[in-house]
Amino acid sequence: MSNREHLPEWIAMYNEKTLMGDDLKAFLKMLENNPALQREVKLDEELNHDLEDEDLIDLRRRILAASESRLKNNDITRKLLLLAASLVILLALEILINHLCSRPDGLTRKLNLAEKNAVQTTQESFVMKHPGLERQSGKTNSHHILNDADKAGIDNSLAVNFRPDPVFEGLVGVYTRSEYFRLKTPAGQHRFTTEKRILFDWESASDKRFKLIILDNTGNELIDTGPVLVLPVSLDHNLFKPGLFYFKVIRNEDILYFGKFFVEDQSGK
Amino acid sequence: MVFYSDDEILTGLREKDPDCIRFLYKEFLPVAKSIVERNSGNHEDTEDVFQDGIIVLYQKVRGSKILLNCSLKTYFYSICSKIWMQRLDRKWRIQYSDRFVHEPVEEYQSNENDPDEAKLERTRIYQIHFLTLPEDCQKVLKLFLCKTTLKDIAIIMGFRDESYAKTRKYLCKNMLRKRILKDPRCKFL
Repeated sequence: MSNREHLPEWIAMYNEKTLMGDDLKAFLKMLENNPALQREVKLDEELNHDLEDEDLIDLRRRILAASESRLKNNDITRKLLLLAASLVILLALEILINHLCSRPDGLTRKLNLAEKNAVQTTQESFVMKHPGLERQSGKTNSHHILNDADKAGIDNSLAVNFRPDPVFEGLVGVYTRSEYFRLKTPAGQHRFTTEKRILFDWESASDKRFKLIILDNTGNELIDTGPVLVLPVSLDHNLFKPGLFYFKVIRNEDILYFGKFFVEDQSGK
Repeated sequence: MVFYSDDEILTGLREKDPDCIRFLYKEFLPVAKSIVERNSGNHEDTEDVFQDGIIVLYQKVRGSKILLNCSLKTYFYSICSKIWMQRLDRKWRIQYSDRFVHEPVEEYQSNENDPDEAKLERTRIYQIHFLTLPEDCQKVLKLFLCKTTLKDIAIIMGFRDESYAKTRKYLCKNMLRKRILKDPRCKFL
């Protein structure tokens, strides 16, 4: 057996001071010019010394256990915090979505209404875009037409509401596409007075979905029905203040027909 | 969690009470953190300094009762602070000694009352690796270091003879030695 094979044993014996005679001499000779061996001897000596104190090792074990349990607790706390944060975010999103839905021009409401339109076109199934008209729309106000303050305002602005738009007037009654499309109602420049509902109906060669958009006489978009599946489109008279309105029937952003109608109050103003 | 007064902490530490050690972690780790992480240390350094600080504190209370003229937290702060400052200094010297440091290391030795932080670090690394050894290895090495004879080790451990006990001792120590030498922290020792 060579001296090198004896080394681990010799290192241990050297540090235990049990290495004697020729072995000790050979070992010391090797140790003299061998830094790696010197390091090994030092490590062995330090290990013997540092691991001697059983008390400290026991304390170290307990410290490590406490550290581990703290890390576990932190991990659980972190997970709980993450869960709580996720819930808060979800709650905030819910509130935001509700808020958007409650706005008259909210995107979500528009989307929801478009979905409803795919099933049935009714009084509620369009988007009200004019804030002034919004409070009169829908179920809540179907019976009531206008309050006194509104009526006073109407008297003052009646002439303004009926003022025609020169650009729109040039488009009225024009069928802009070559395909077959005929408007049945409202015919001509219909004046709605006593009818409770304003009906829009048309014939077309295509079974594709059309969209009806209603504008006031200044070009403000008031109603966008989304894709119309069921004809006729029926709108409550009460949704409109007396005035001149324009409408356009659209398919894939192409205007098929541009028309107008009037809404007058019961007295014929 | 139970609250411990300074005296109760010292008593609990002397008895190595696990609850007291957990309490120390909760209450005293931020002390080490404030020192280390404000002075270019990271989370692992904080953990190391904290553990070394506990060991120093334990060594002080183990033999005799210590008389504090300040709160235990302040005392612990000073222990951790000394450990971390010495460690920074030592590691800086090891890393940059070729380029910047010309004075002999002895001139920078701290006074006798300061903890020997290099020894603390070395002991910590050795002990941590020792505690990762298989149970029977730990037991064999412990018996050996307690000067138990190979014959007795063989009997206690149920080995067939002392020659096998010697082989096992050698294998276990070698396993420990290899683990320690692989540890990157050892390059600073």
